[in-house]
Amino acid sequence: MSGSIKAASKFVEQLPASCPPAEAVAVNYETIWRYVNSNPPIESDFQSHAMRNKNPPPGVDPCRWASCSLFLIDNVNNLAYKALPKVKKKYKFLAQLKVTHLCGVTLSNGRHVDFWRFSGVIPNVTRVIAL
Amino acid sequence: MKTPAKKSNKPEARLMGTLVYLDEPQVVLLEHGPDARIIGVAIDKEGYDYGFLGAEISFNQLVNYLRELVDLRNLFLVPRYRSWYLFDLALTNENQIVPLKRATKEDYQNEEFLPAPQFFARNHTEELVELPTAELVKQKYLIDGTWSPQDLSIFFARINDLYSFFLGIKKFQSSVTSLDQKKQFIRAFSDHPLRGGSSYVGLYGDLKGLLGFEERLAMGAIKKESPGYLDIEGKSEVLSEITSALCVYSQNAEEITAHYKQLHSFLSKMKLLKAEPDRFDPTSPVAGRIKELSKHFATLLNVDYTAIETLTGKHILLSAKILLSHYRRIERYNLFFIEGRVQFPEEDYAEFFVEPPQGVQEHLVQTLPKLLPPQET
Repeated sequence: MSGSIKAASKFVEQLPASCPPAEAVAVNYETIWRYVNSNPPIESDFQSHAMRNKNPPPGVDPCRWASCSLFLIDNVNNLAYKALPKVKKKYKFLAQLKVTHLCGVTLSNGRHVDFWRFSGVIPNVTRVIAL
Repeated sequence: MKTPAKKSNKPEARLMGTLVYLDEPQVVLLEHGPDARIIGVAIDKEGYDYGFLGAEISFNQLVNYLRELVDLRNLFLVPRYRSWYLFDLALTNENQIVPLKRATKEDYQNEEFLPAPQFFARNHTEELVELPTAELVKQKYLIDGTWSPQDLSIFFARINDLYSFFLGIKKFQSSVTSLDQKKQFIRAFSDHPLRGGSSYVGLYGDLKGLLGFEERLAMGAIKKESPGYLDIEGKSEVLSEITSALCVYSQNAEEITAHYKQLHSFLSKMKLLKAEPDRFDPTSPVAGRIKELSKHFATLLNVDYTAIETLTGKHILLSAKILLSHYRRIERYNLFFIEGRVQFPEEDYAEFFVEPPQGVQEHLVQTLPKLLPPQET
Protein backbone atom coordinates (compact mmCIF):
# COMPACT_ATOMS: atom_id res chain seq x y z
CA MET A 1 0.00 0.00 0.00
CA SER A 2 1.83 3.10 -1.16
CA GLY A 3 -1.16 5.44 -0.72
CA SER A 4 -1.17 8.65 1.29
CA ILE A 5 0.32 8.50 4.78
CA LYS A 6 -0.97 10.83 7.49
CA ALA A 7 0.63 9.43 10.64
CA ALA A 8 2.87 6.43 10.04
CA SER A 9 3.79 6.14 13.70
CA LYS A 10 0.37 4.89 14.86
CA PHE A 11 -1.64 1.90 13.79
CA VAL A 12 -5.07 2.15 12.24
CA GLU A 13 -6.47 -0.15 14.94
CA GLN A 14 -6.09 -0.07 18.69
CA LEU A 15 -3.74 -2.94 19.44
CA PRO A 16 -3.23 -5.00 22.63
CA ALA A 17 -0.08 -4.59 24.70
CA SER A 18 3.08 -5.95 23.04
CA CYS A 19 1.35 -5.92 19.67
CA PRO A 20 2.52 -6.15 16.93
CA PRO A 21 5.01 -8.81 18.05
CA ALA A 22 8.70 -7.90 18.07
CA GLU A 23 9.40 -10.17 15.11
CA ALA A 24 6.92 -8.32 12.85
CA VAL A 25 8.73 -6.27 10.20
CA ALA A 26 8.02 -3.46 7.78
CA VAL A 27 8.81 -4.89 4.35
CA ASN A 28 7.72 -4.49 0.75
CA TYR A 29 5.41 -6.90 -1.06
CA GLU A 30 5.02 -6.22 -4.76
CA THR A 31 1.98 -8.52 -4.93
CA ILE A 32 -0.05 -9.78 -2.01
CA TRP A 33 -3.68 -10.84 -1.75
CA ARG A 34 -6.63 -10.10 0.50
CA TYR A 35 -10.10 -11.68 0.51
CA VAL A 36 -12.66 -8.86 0.37
CA ASN A 37 -16.36 -8.26 -0.05
CA SER A 38 -16.51 -5.22 -2.25
CA ASN A 39 -15.32 -4.17 -5.65
CA PRO A 40 -13.69 -1.75 -5.36
CA PRO A 41 -12.69 -2.71 -1.80
CA ILE A 42 -13.66 -0.31 0.98
CA GLU A 43 -12.16 0.41 4.38
CA SER A 44 -14.19 -2.25 6.17
CA ASP A 45 -12.66 -4.91 3.88
CA PHE A 46 -9.36 -4.36 5.68
CA GLN A 47 -10.67 -4.30 9.23
CA SER A 48 -9.89 -7.09 11.65
CA HIS A 49 -12.50 -8.79 13.80
CA ALA A 50 -11.11 -6.85 16.76
CA MET A 51 -11.96 -3.61 14.97
CA ARG A 52 -15.51 -4.91 14.58
CA ASN A 53 -15.70 -5.50 18.34
CA LYS A 54 -15.88 -9.27 18.00
CA ASN A 55 -14.30 -11.24 20.83
CA PRO A 56 -11.76 -13.86 19.78
CA PRO A 57 -12.47 -17.51 20.52
CA PRO A 58 -10.42 -18.86 23.44
CA GLY A 59 -6.92 -19.68 22.34
CA VAL A 60 -6.72 -17.16 19.51
CA ASP A 61 -3.99 -14.61 20.08
CA PRO A 62 -5.58 -11.15 20.61
CA CYS A 63 -2.76 -9.55 18.65
CA ARG A 64 -3.43 -11.79 15.69
CA TRP A 65 -7.13 -11.14 16.09
CA ALA A 66 -6.35 -7.46 15.50
CA SER A 67 -4.45 -8.14 12.28
CA CYS A 68 -5.56 -8.45 8.68
CA SER A 69 -4.93 -11.75 6.83
CA LEU A 70 -3.00 -11.44 3.58
CA PHE A 71 -1.72 -14.19 1.31
CA LEU A 72 1.42 -14.67 -0.74
CA ILE A 73 1.26 -16.94 -3.76
CA ASP A 74 2.93 -17.12 -7.17
CA ASN A 75 -0.19 -18.09 -9.06
CA VAL A 76 -3.45 -16.68 -7.74
CA ASN A 77 -5.32 -19.60 -9.28
CA ASN A 78 -3.70 -21.76 -6.64
CA LEU A 79 -5.27 -19.82 -3.78
CA ALA A 80 -7.75 -22.44 -2.68
CA TYR A 81 -9.44 -20.92 0.35
CA LYS A 82 -12.71 -20.28 -1.42
CA ALA A 83 -13.17 -24.06 -1.11
CA LEU A 84 -13.75 -23.52 2.60
CA PRO A 85 -17.43 -23.00 3.43
CA LYS A 86 -17.22 -19.84 5.55
CA VAL A 87 -14.70 -18.18 3.27
CA LYS A 88 -16.87 -18.95 0.26
CA LYS A 89 -19.92 -17.51 1.92
CA LYS A 90 -18.27 -14.45 3.38
CA TYR A 91 -15.92 -13.22 0.68
CA LYS A 92 -16.82 -12.39 -2.89
CA PHE A 93 -13.55 -11.08 -4.31
CA LEU A 94 -9.79 -11.34 -4.14
CA ALA A 95 -7.96 -8.01 -4.05
CA GLN A 96 -4.40 -7.77 -5.31
CA LEU A 97 -2.42 -5.29 -3.24
CA LYS A 98 0.94 -3.64 -3.22
CA VAL A 99 2.32 -3.23 0.30
CA THR A 100 5.42 -1.26 1.20
CA HIS A 101 7.36 -0.75 4.41
CA LEU A 102 5.52 2.53 4.81
CA CYS A 103 2.17 0.81 5.04
CA GLY A 104 2.57 -1.20 8.22
CA VAL A 105 4.29 -4.23 9.72
CA THR A 106 3.82 -7.83 8.83
CA LEU A 107 4.50 -11.28 10.19
CA SER A 108 4.73 -13.98 7.57
CA ASN A 109 4.72 -17.75 8.04
CA GLY A 110 5.17 -18.51 4.39
CA ARG A 111 1.84 -18.26 2.67
CA HIS A 112 -0.14 -16.35 5.30
CA VAL A 113 0.82 -12.85 6.37
CA ASP A 114 -0.56 -11.04 9.41
CA PHE A 115 -0.72 -7.35 8.64
CA TRP A 116 -0.98 -4.42 11.07
CA ARG A 117 -1.62 -1.33 9.03
CA PHE A 118 -0.35 2.10 9.98
CA SER A 119 -2.86 4.80 10.66
CA GLY A 120 -3.81 6.88 7.64
CA VAL A 121 -2.62 4.32 5.12
CA ILE A 122 -5.07 3.66 2.30
CA PRO A 123 -4.75 0.22 0.72
CA ASN A 124 -3.22 0.26 -2.75
CA VAL A 125 -5.41 -2.15 -4.68
CA THR A 126 -4.05 -2.98 -8.12
CA ARG A 127 -6.60 -5.59 -9.20
CA VAL A 128 -9.80 -7.28 -8.05
CA ILE A 129 -10.84 -10.77 -9.06
CA ALA A 130 -14.33 -12.18 -8.56
CA LEU A 131 -14.40 -15.51 -6.72
CA MET B 1 -6.50 -57.84 27.89
CA LYS B 2 -9.28 -55.49 26.81
CA THR B 3 -8.35 -53.41 23.81
CA PRO B 4 -8.80 -49.69 24.56
CA ALA B 5 -11.54 -48.00 22.55
CA LYS B 6 -10.29 -46.14 19.51
CA LYS B 7 -12.70 -43.28 19.95
CA SER B 8 -14.37 -41.55 22.83
CA ASN B 9 -18.12 -41.42 23.31
CA LYS B 10 -17.95 -38.23 25.33
CA PRO B 11 -19.72 -35.21 23.85
CA GLU B 12 -16.52 -33.20 23.99
CA ALA B 13 -13.11 -33.18 22.36
CA ARG B 14 -9.73 -31.57 22.89
CA LEU B 15 -8.78 -28.75 20.56
CA MET B 16 -5.38 -29.60 19.11
CA GLY B 17 -5.06 -26.42 17.08
CA THR B 18 -5.78 -24.47 13.92
CA LEU B 19 -4.76 -25.69 10.50
CA VAL B 20 -6.04 -22.76 8.42
CA TYR B 21 -6.37 -19.18 9.60
CA LEU B 22 -7.98 -16.44 7.51
CA ASP B 23 -9.04 -13.58 9.74
CA GLU B 24 -10.21 -16.30 12.12
CA PRO B 25 -9.75 -20.08 12.43
CA GLN B 26 -11.18 -21.75 9.33
CA VAL B 27 -10.00 -25.37 9.74
CA VAL B 28 -9.25 -26.90 13.13
CA LEU B 29 -8.34 -30.31 14.50
CA LEU B 30 -9.71 -31.94 17.63
CA GLU B 31 -8.75 -35.13 19.42
CA HIS B 32 -11.55 -37.51 20.37
CA GLY B 33 -9.84 -40.72 21.40
CA PRO B 34 -6.63 -42.67 20.77
CA ASP B 35 -7.37 -43.06 17.08
CA ALA B 36 -10.21 -40.61 16.44
CA ARG B 37 -9.70 -37.04 15.29
CA ILE B 38 -12.33 -34.50 14.40
CA ILE B 39 -11.46 -32.18 11.56
CA GLY B 40 -13.64 -29.10 11.56
CA VAL B 41 -14.41 -26.39 9.02
CA ALA B 42 -15.81 -23.01 10.02
CA ILE B 43 -19.44 -22.50 9.04
CA ASP B 44 -22.02 -19.79 9.36
CA LYS B 45 -24.79 -21.18 11.56
CA GLU B 46 -27.36 -19.41 13.64
CA GLY B 47 -26.83 -19.81 17.35
CA TYR B 48 -23.07 -20.29 16.97
CA ASP B 49 -20.48 -17.55 17.45
CA TYR B 50 -17.71 -19.53 15.80
CA GLY B 51 -19.52 -22.55 14.48
CA PHE B 52 -17.79 -25.56 12.97
CA LEU B 53 -18.89 -28.73 11.25
CA GLY B 54 -16.57 -31.59 12.23
CA ALA B 55 -16.07 -35.06 10.75
CA GLU B 56 -14.70 -37.85 12.92
CA ILE B 57 -11.82 -39.46 11.08
CA SER B 58 -9.16 -42.00 11.96
CA PHE B 59 -5.53 -41.17 12.53
CA ASN B 60 -4.74 -43.06 9.34
CA GLN B 61 -7.14 -40.85 7.40
CA LEU B 62 -5.50 -37.79 8.87
CA VAL B 63 -2.09 -39.05 7.78
CA ASN B 64 -3.39 -39.72 4.24
CA TYR B 65 -4.83 -36.20 4.15
CA LEU B 66 -1.55 -34.71 5.30
CA ARG B 67 0.23 -36.75 2.65
CA GLU B 68 -2.20 -35.19 0.16
CA LEU B 69 -3.50 -38.56 -0.94
CA VAL B 70 -7.02 -37.25 -0.32
CA ASP B 71 -8.53 -33.77 -0.13
CA LEU B 72 -10.38 -32.19 2.77
CA ARG B 73 -13.80 -32.89 1.27
CA ASN B 74 -13.06 -36.60 1.20
CA LEU B 75 -12.67 -36.59 4.99
CA PHE B 76 -16.15 -35.14 5.34
CA LEU B 77 -17.75 -37.53 2.89
CA VAL B 78 -16.30 -40.76 4.26
CA PRO B 79 -15.09 -40.23 7.83
CA ARG B 80 -13.92 -43.50 9.34
CA TYR B 81 -16.19 -43.24 12.38
CA ARG B 82 -19.24 -42.12 10.38
CA SER B 83 -19.87 -39.30 12.85
CA TRP B 84 -20.29 -35.61 12.32
CA TYR B 85 -20.50 -32.91 14.97
CA LEU B 86 -21.30 -29.25 15.38
CA PHE B 87 -19.26 -27.24 17.82
CA ASP B 88 -18.65 -23.63 18.74
CA LEU B 89 -15.06 -22.62 19.26
CA ALA B 90 -16.28 -19.80 21.50
CA LEU B 91 -17.19 -22.46 24.10
CA THR B 92 -13.64 -23.85 24.38
CA ASN B 93 -12.63 -23.98 28.05
CA GLU B 94 -9.23 -23.29 29.62
CA ASN B 95 -8.27 -26.94 29.13
CA GLN B 96 -8.92 -26.67 25.39
CA ILE B 97 -12.02 -28.87 25.70
CA VAL B 98 -14.80 -28.13 23.24
CA PRO B 99 -18.37 -29.42 23.72
CA LEU B 100 -19.75 -31.37 20.77
CA LYS B 101 -23.25 -31.78 19.42
CA ARG B 102 -24.16 -34.48 16.93
CA ALA B 103 -24.79 -32.98 13.50
CA THR B 104 -27.99 -33.90 11.70
CA LYS B 105 -28.06 -35.23 8.18
CA GLU B 106 -29.27 -31.82 7.06
CA ASP B 107 -26.09 -30.37 8.50
CA TYR B 108 -23.46 -32.82 7.28
CA GLN B 109 -25.01 -33.14 3.84
CA ASN B 110 -25.47 -29.40 3.48
CA GLU B 111 -23.19 -28.26 0.64
CA GLU B 112 -22.96 -24.86 2.29
CA PHE B 113 -21.23 -26.54 5.21
CA LEU B 114 -18.93 -28.84 3.25
CA PRO B 115 -15.53 -27.95 1.78
CA ALA B 116 -15.42 -27.95 -2.01
CA PRO B 117 -13.14 -30.47 -3.75
CA GLN B 118 -9.41 -29.93 -4.27
CA PHE B 119 -8.53 -28.36 -0.92
CA PHE B 120 -5.36 -30.14 0.15
CA ALA B 121 -3.13 -30.01 3.19
CA ARG B 122 -0.57 -27.94 1.29
CA ASN B 123 -2.93 -24.98 1.80
CA HIS B 124 -2.61 -25.05 5.57
CA THR B 125 -1.43 -21.76 6.99
CA GLU B 126 -0.51 -23.11 10.43
CA GLU B 127 1.71 -25.88 11.69
CA LEU B 128 0.62 -28.14 14.50
CA VAL B 129 3.37 -29.63 16.60
CA GLU B 130 1.35 -32.77 17.23
CA LEU B 131 0.84 -33.62 13.60
CA PRO B 132 2.77 -36.70 12.47
CA THR B 133 5.62 -36.40 10.04
CA ALA B 134 7.52 -39.24 8.54
CA GLU B 135 10.26 -39.62 6.04
CA LEU B 136 8.12 -41.01 3.32
CA VAL B 137 8.70 -41.20 -0.39
CA LYS B 138 6.58 -42.05 -3.38
CA GLN B 139 7.62 -45.00 -5.52
CA LYS B 140 6.22 -44.83 -9.02
CA TYR B 141 5.32 -47.95 -10.97
CA LEU B 142 4.50 -47.76 -14.65
CA ILE B 143 1.35 -49.70 -15.53
CA ASP B 144 -1.02 -49.80 -18.46
CA GLY B 145 -4.73 -49.27 -18.96
CA THR B 146 -5.71 -52.92 -18.51
CA TRP B 147 -5.29 -52.91 -14.73
CA SER B 148 -8.49 -53.65 -12.84
CA PRO B 149 -9.17 -52.67 -9.21
CA GLN B 150 -8.46 -56.28 -8.30
CA ASP B 151 -5.06 -56.13 -10.01
CA LEU B 152 -4.23 -53.00 -8.05
CA SER B 153 -5.34 -54.65 -4.83
CA ILE B 154 -3.27 -57.77 -5.45
CA PHE B 155 -0.20 -55.81 -6.47
CA PHE B 156 -0.44 -53.59 -3.41
CA ALA B 157 -0.83 -56.64 -1.19
CA ARG B 158 2.34 -58.19 -2.66
CA ILE B 159 4.38 -55.11 -1.88
CA ASN B 160 2.73 -54.62 1.49
CA ASP B 161 3.73 -58.08 2.71
CA LEU B 162 7.35 -57.44 1.77
CA TYR B 163 7.20 -53.95 3.23
CA SER B 164 5.84 -55.19 6.56
CA PHE B 165 8.46 -57.94 6.67
CA PHE B 166 11.45 -55.65 6.06
CA LEU B 167 10.17 -52.84 8.23
CA GLY B 168 9.34 -55.28 11.00
CA ILE B 169 12.90 -56.56 11.05
CA LYS B 170 14.28 -53.01 10.94
CA LYS B 171 12.15 -51.89 13.83
CA PHE B 172 13.05 -54.98 15.84
CA GLN B 173 16.74 -54.25 15.35
CA SER B 174 16.36 -50.54 16.06
CA SER B 175 17.64 -49.14 19.35
CA VAL B 176 14.72 -46.72 19.58
CA THR B 177 12.15 -49.52 19.58
CA SER B 178 10.99 -50.24 23.11
CA LEU B 179 11.40 -53.64 24.73
CA ASP B 180 7.63 -54.14 24.77
CA GLN B 181 7.42 -53.40 21.06
CA LYS B 182 10.27 -55.81 20.36
CA LYS B 183 8.42 -58.51 22.26
CA GLN B 184 5.41 -57.86 20.06
CA PHE B 185 7.51 -58.41 16.96
CA ILE B 186 8.81 -61.66 18.41
CA ARG B 187 5.23 -62.73 19.10
CA ALA B 188 4.24 -61.90 15.51
CA PHE B 189 7.05 -64.08 14.15
CA SER B 190 6.79 -66.93 16.60
CA ASP B 191 3.11 -67.19 17.56
CA HIS B 192 1.93 -68.48 14.21
CA PRO B 193 2.45 -72.21 13.61
CA LEU B 194 2.84 -71.61 9.85
CA ARG B 195 1.14 -74.84 8.97
CA GLY B 196 -1.07 -73.43 6.23
CA GLY B 197 -2.02 -70.41 4.17
CA SER B 198 -4.12 -68.60 6.77
CA SER B 199 -1.30 -68.84 9.28
CA TYR B 200 1.04 -67.01 6.94
CA VAL B 201 -1.63 -64.40 6.32
CA GLY B 202 -1.84 -64.05 10.07
CA LEU B 203 1.91 -63.48 10.35
CA TYR B 204 1.97 -60.68 7.79
CA GLY B 205 -1.26 -59.23 9.15
CA ASP B 206 0.26 -59.04 12.63
CA LEU B 207 3.36 -57.36 11.26
CA LYS B 208 1.27 -54.71 9.52
CA GLY B 209 -0.64 -54.14 12.73
CA LEU B 210 2.57 -53.39 14.61
CA LEU B 211 3.54 -50.58 12.29
CA GLY B 212 2.64 -47.02 13.19
CA PHE B 213 -0.07 -45.40 11.08
CA GLU B 214 2.35 -42.83 9.79
CA GLU B 215 4.81 -45.44 8.49
CA ARG B 216 2.44 -47.84 6.82
CA LEU B 217 2.44 -48.36 3.11
CA ALA B 218 -0.17 -46.35 1.21
CA MET B 219 -1.44 -46.31 -2.33
CA GLY B 220 -1.30 -42.88 -3.91
CA ALA B 221 -2.22 -41.54 -7.32
CA ILE B 222 -3.26 -43.98 -10.00
CA LYS B 223 -3.44 -43.32 -13.71
CA LYS B 224 -4.92 -46.27 -15.56
CA GLU B 225 -3.84 -45.50 -19.06
CA SER B 226 -1.21 -46.74 -21.47
CA PRO B 227 1.23 -45.66 -20.27
CA GLY B 228 -0.10 -45.04 -16.82
CA TYR B 229 1.32 -45.23 -13.34
CA LEU B 230 0.69 -46.15 -9.76
CA ASP B 231 2.27 -44.36 -6.80
CA ILE B 232 3.08 -46.28 -3.66
CA GLU B 233 4.14 -44.28 -0.61
CA GLY B 234 6.21 -45.58 2.25
CA LYS B 235 9.47 -45.27 4.15
CA SER B 236 12.29 -44.63 1.79
CA GLU B 237 14.77 -47.17 3.10
CA VAL B 238 12.19 -49.96 3.18
CA LEU B 239 11.02 -49.38 -0.39
CA SER B 240 14.65 -49.42 -1.45
CA GLU B 241 15.13 -52.69 0.37
CA ILE B 242 12.21 -54.25 -1.50
CA THR B 243 13.67 -53.12 -4.80
CA SER B 244 17.07 -54.48 -3.81
CA ALA B 245 15.45 -57.80 -2.91
CA LEU B 246 13.80 -57.83 -6.33
CA CYS B 247 17.11 -57.13 -7.95
CA VAL B 248 18.89 -59.85 -5.99
CA TYR B 249 16.16 -62.30 -6.91
CA SER B 250 16.01 -61.43 -10.60
CA GLN B 251 19.78 -61.63 -10.96
CA ASN B 252 19.95 -65.10 -9.49
CA ALA B 253 16.44 -66.46 -9.87
CA GLU B 254 17.50 -69.92 -11.00
CA GLU B 255 19.78 -70.66 -8.08
CA ILE B 256 17.44 -69.10 -5.54
CA THR B 257 14.46 -71.04 -6.87
CA ALA B 258 16.46 -74.26 -6.90
CA HIS B 259 17.38 -73.70 -3.29
CA TYR B 260 13.79 -72.91 -2.39
CA LYS B 261 12.73 -76.21 -3.90
CA GLN B 262 15.49 -78.04 -2.07
CA LEU B 263 14.50 -76.64 1.34
CA HIS B 264 10.79 -77.02 0.68
CA SER B 265 11.22 -80.57 -0.56
CA PHE B 266 13.29 -81.52 2.48
CA LEU B 267 10.65 -80.18 4.87
CA SER B 268 7.99 -82.00 2.88
CA LYS B 269 9.86 -85.31 3.01
CA MET B 270 10.34 -84.92 6.75
CA LYS B 271 6.61 -84.15 7.05
CA LEU B 272 7.43 -80.85 8.66
CA LEU B 273 5.45 -78.49 6.44
CA LYS B 274 2.30 -79.02 8.49
CA ALA B 275 3.97 -80.21 11.69
CA GLU B 276 3.28 -78.57 15.05
CA PRO B 277 6.22 -76.30 15.83
CA ASP B 278 6.13 -77.37 19.49
CA ARG B 279 6.90 -80.96 18.51
CA PHE B 280 9.95 -80.08 16.49
CA ASP B 281 13.20 -81.42 17.95
CA PRO B 282 15.83 -78.70 17.56
CA THR B 283 18.64 -81.02 18.51
CA SER B 284 18.02 -83.61 15.80
CA PRO B 285 20.23 -84.05 12.73
CA VAL B 286 17.20 -83.02 10.66
CA ALA B 287 17.17 -79.67 12.49
CA GLY B 288 20.86 -79.25 11.77
CA ARG B 289 20.31 -79.87 8.07
CA ILE B 290 17.37 -77.46 7.96
CA LYS B 291 19.43 -74.75 9.59
CA GLU B 292 22.25 -75.29 7.13
CA LEU B 293 19.90 -75.04 4.16
CA SER B 294 18.11 -72.03 5.67
CA LYS B 295 21.27 -70.09 6.31
CA HIS B 296 22.44 -70.58 2.76
CA PHE B 297 18.99 -69.71 1.45
CA ALA B 298 18.94 -66.52 3.51
CA THR B 299 22.34 -65.56 2.11
CA LEU B 300 21.07 -66.01 -1.44
CA LEU B 301 18.03 -63.89 -0.64
CA ASN B 302 20.21 -61.33 1.13
CA VAL B 303 18.11 -61.66 4.29
CA ASP B 304 19.60 -61.50 7.79
CA TYR B 305 19.18 -65.06 9.07
CA THR B 306 20.28 -64.10 12.59
CA ALA B 307 17.46 -61.57 12.81
CA ILE B 308 14.89 -64.14 11.68
CA GLU B 309 16.30 -66.66 14.13
CA THR B 310 16.08 -64.17 17.01
CA LEU B 311 12.53 -63.23 16.10
CA THR B 312 11.43 -66.86 16.10
CA GLY B 313 13.15 -67.56 19.40
CA LYS B 314 15.80 -69.57 17.58
CA HIS B 315 13.14 -71.91 16.21
CA ILE B 316 14.86 -73.57 13.27
CA LEU B 317 11.68 -74.85 11.64
CA LEU B 318 9.77 -71.55 11.93
CA SER B 319 12.79 -69.68 10.60
CA ALA B 320 12.93 -71.96 7.57
CA LYS B 321 9.22 -71.54 6.87
CA ILE B 322 9.45 -67.76 7.15
CA LEU B 323 12.24 -67.73 4.61
CA LEU B 324 10.19 -69.90 2.29
CA SER B 325 7.18 -67.59 2.62
CA HIS B 326 9.40 -64.58 2.01
CA TYR B 327 10.71 -66.18 -1.19
CA ARG B 328 7.15 -66.81 -2.40
CA ARG B 329 6.25 -63.17 -1.86
CA ILE B 330 9.26 -61.92 -3.76
CA GLU B 331 8.55 -64.37 -6.53
CA ARG B 332 4.93 -63.26 -6.83
CA TYR B 333 5.95 -59.60 -6.76
CA ASN B 334 8.55 -60.29 -9.46
CA LEU B 335 5.91 -61.99 -11.59
CA PHE B 336 4.27 -58.63 -12.24
CA PHE B 337 7.52 -57.44 -13.78
CA ILE B 338 8.26 -60.63 -15.68
CA GLU B 339 4.78 -60.58 -17.20
CA GLY B 340 5.40 -57.03 -18.33
CA ARG B 341 2.51 -55.68 -16.30
CA VAL B 342 4.60 -53.21 -14.35
CA GLN B 343 7.89 -51.44 -14.74
CA PHE B 344 10.00 -48.96 -12.85
CA PRO B 345 10.50 -45.61 -14.55
CA GLU B 346 13.91 -45.64 -16.16
CA GLU B 347 15.05 -42.54 -14.31
CA ASP B 348 14.55 -44.41 -11.02
CA TYR B 349 17.10 -47.14 -11.72
CA ALA B 350 20.04 -44.99 -10.67
CA GLU B 351 18.13 -43.75 -7.64
CA PHE B 352 17.64 -47.27 -6.34
CA PHE B 353 21.11 -48.58 -6.77
CA VAL B 354 23.85 -46.45 -5.31
CA GLU B 355 26.23 -49.19 -6.35
CA PRO B 356 24.20 -51.23 -8.80
CA PRO B 357 25.11 -54.89 -8.91
CA GLN B 358 27.00 -55.44 -12.09
CA GLY B 359 24.80 -55.85 -15.08
CA VAL B 360 21.56 -55.25 -13.20
CA GLN B 361 20.50 -52.27 -15.23
CA GLU B 362 21.06 -54.11 -18.50
CA HIS B 363 19.34 -57.12 -17.01
CA LEU B 364 16.29 -55.11 -15.97
CA VAL B 365 16.13 -53.30 -19.28
CA GLN B 366 16.18 -56.61 -21.12
CA THR B 367 13.68 -58.43 -18.97
CA LEU B 368 11.14 -55.67 -18.39
CA PRO B 369 9.08 -55.00 -21.50
CA LYS B 370 8.70 -51.38 -22.36
CA LEU B 371 5.32 -49.90 -21.71
CA LEU B 372 6.17 -46.54 -23.11
CA PRO B 373 4.95 -45.68 -26.62
CA PRO B 374 7.41 -46.60 -29.38
CA GLN B 375 9.82 -43.89 -30.44
CA GLU B 376 9.00 -42.24 -33.71
CA THR B 377 11.58 -43.02 -36.40
